[in-house]
Amino acid sequence: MADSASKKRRNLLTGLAFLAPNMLGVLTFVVFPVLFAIMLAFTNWDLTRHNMFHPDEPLRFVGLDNFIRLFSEGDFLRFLGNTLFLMMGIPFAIGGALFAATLLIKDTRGGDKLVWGWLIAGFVLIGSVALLAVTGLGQTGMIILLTGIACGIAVIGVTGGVTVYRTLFYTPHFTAGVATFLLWKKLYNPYDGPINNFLSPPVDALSRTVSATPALMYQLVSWLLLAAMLLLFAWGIKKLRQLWVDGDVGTGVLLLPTLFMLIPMATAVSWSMIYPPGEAQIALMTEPQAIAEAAGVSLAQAGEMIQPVTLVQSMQDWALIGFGVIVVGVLLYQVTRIFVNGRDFRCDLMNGAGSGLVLGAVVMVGLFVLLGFAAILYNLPWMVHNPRDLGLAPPEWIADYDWAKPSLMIMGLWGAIGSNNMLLYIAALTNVPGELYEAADMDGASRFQRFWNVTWPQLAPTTFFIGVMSTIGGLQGGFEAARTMTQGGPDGATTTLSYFVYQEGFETGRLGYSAGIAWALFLLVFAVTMFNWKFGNKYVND
Amino acid sequence: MSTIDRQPDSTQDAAHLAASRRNKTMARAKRFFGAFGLHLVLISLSFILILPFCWMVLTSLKDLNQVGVGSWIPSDPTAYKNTDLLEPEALLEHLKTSDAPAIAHMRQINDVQIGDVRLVYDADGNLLEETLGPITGFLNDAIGDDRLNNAEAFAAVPPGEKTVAQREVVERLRAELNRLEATPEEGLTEDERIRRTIDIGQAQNELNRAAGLLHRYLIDDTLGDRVRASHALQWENYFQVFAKIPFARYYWNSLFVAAWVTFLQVFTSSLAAFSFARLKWPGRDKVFLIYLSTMMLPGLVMMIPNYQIMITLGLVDTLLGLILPGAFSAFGTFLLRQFMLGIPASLDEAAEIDGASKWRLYWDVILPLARPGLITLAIFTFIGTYHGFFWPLVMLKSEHKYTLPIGLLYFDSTAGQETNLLMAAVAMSVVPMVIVFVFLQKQLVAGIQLGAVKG
Repeated sequence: MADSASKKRRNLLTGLAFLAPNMLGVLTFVVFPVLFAIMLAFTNWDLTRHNMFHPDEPLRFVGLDNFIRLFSEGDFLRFLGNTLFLMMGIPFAIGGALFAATLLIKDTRGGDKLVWGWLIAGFVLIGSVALLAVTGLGQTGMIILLTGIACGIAVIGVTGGVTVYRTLFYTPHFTAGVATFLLWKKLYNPYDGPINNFLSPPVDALSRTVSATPALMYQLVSWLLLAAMLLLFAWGIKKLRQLWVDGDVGTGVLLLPTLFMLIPMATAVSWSMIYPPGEAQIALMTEPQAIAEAAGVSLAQAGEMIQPVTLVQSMQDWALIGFGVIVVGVLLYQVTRIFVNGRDFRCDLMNGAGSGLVLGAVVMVGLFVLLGFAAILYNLPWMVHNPRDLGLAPPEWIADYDWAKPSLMIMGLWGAIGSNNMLLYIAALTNVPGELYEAADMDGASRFQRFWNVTWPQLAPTTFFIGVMSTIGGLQGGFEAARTMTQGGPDGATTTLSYFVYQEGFETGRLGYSAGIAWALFLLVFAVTMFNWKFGNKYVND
Repeated sequence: MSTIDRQPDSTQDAAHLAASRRNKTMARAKRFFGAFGLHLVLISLSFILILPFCWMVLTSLKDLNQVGVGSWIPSDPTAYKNTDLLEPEALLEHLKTSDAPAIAHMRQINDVQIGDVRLVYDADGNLLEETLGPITGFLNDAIGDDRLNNAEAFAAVPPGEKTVAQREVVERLRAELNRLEATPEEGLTEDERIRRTIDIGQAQNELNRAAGLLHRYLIDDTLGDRVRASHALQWENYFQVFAKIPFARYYWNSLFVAAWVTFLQVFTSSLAAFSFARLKWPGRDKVFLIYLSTMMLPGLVMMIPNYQIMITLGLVDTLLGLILPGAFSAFGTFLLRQFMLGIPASLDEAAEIDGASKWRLYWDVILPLARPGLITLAIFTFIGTYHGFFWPLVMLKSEHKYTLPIGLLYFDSTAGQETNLLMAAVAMSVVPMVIVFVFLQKQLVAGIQLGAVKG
């Protein structure tokens, strides 16, 4: 007995000895800080008040004050809204990665011809440079340059096959970091960045075309888009009914609230279409000064009268609501699970609630896109007759309040198409059993049916994993871009929660408050992770 | 199908054969065009994804004067210099008679500076001062100034339609601005005063923007496509980066920190993983569970306490302060544990029978077998640390300790106007990652999949 006890102790000691270096570090830099941070969140620690110059200022426990402030001051909710708005890019990113993956698993030619590819690409590049030298540097030069680049890619791609494309796709993601953010900051420069240099001529042309087209046309087209939205809605309802009949309640429950979000949005747009700006307002837009003088008001007051509803701002509100709606959907899901006992409860369409979530998100994004197009088209004629009479101009990207977030989302998409997610999808796609496709072919399935009924369900676990990981990352993300590109601006438009934590903790020095925000953020992430575990396990069992 | 086709017995078979041949041709065409379309989509996507990098490299090779110009191609700013105007005196005379005063007036700048000549104007465009000889300091009006050198062409060409229209816009905006500024501030409420300030600011911005466009149109009108081609790649931009900031130092700091973090993290994690996976001791699984749960905590929560710890330890603004927190990782432990669990247990017994110590078992048996896992962890740690931004940002204060991301950030804030140099720096900072990718592609891809499976 004594021998066994001593052996046990020796085992324990050996085990701990191996563990010791790591455990010491984890205790010091993870466990202790976490405990410390919990305490911190309940204090009023503020570096501007508690420092060497104010030795008598006491550090106090303030209970839940920090958290109460969090919700009463409105900043937290606003920046949470920013974060969620930026997260609307996630479905696009996942879709892009999946699209790239489906292209890249095709058996494109490659192999030993790679060397030739590089050689020919080199010749094409040398040739285009030589042509540049001969012809001159104006527009011709640019066209030759871009053609040269495209040809180079074409040649190495066609000969090198998938590997080359994969590398090219993966590069933006792989180099991402401060370096690429600075690169994009320069690309987005509204005055002499290449994007606006490129956009200026077509936007000028568009501006002329728009002012030459009667406004009625745009109204017509935007009505059509609205109709498309309603069709999508009707399709959703029909699908819902079918899902109910099939007993596929889970997916339906997630689809339902998403669809009903449309109603207020569509109402708002159709309202403004039924009651377009009156004569007086249009006159104000086109000749503000004269009207303002005649009416005896200042130009500023006149400007307020014709302030168009900023679409992006209202869409941000809808994003917040959409997030809430999906949460409600998940809750409904649980509730129906309890009550719909008689019905066979399944999520057949895509093997589970996770994919239902993805479907819900995709439908939501689709609705947003349609709505955005409708609203933009509808507003175009009035945008051209802008009070300052500059006509349509390319957006000022990250320098513009409304465009800053979409700019960051576009940049994110650039990095996300060829991301790790693409690699995961490639792996998952190669693992789809070939027999399934053969069976589908025997049944005469179309290409889309093949994808929807075979590929997509087979990818469900991967999609689920990627979706949850992206959500967790998205909630905590946005810091680097905010710090390097926009400083959280303009006017807090790109301040995400993580940047908020940084600002409070390391710039204004309100450590207690900062810790409070960090914990609130953690609770959000925690909720998502719990969701992941619950449904993730279900997947493994399926 | 094809086996039947190959046995033409009856008279109908000739038609049959033709039909099948046609089908085959169709199929081949379909395959060809399918592949063609696939490549087309792939090429266009790659093109779009790669384009920013092309712009980056080309801009990094440009002369500063050409950075904002529409064309991406670096050209030699001296190539189209009017040889007659190389003498400063001649240039001065030319500029005084050219459109330069008008431009200065339009842009509301008070001096135009080209080469060795500097002209200073008052707000109404009257010449106040002229300077000859070497002028130090930053070029006031960088974009397109070099093209002004061709002042003769400037004066000769009649302004184009766009320029005339834009001139009107600028005039109107200026009138608007003047009107706004003329409104009296007295007697306004607080709100109205703020409104007024905002309006004036907006009007100012729009005027500046319009005047900038006018400048560009003027240049386009006068010079257009006449600028001669040359391919002067400004390689010295890359050397200038090293001259302006301690870029080599940043490189070294980044690689130093990343290498140490990688080494220490892999080492401590493998030790801990060995303890969790291959040793039996009481309470092991409970401790492991705690380890697992720490993985869920976002790093953000721990930043402030960790910073306080670093202050206490006196490690703020040291590279050691960057290395230490990164050296211990619950995730690495988890990853390697999963890996080590896959190694057959019989090896342990064999080692024990041979009388090997646990250390020998770890060092000679398990570590070599867990090599793929170690490499995966090493790559990920290295890349993560190399890109690391938050922690270095709050930790580092003195310039010579910056890592690359921080160095780039401050280079942007101090010399961000010099886009060509910034792009050169960015291009250089991307290079190590490209090298890592090219050489470790396979392990990387395998590692990503491994990480996903383990969750």
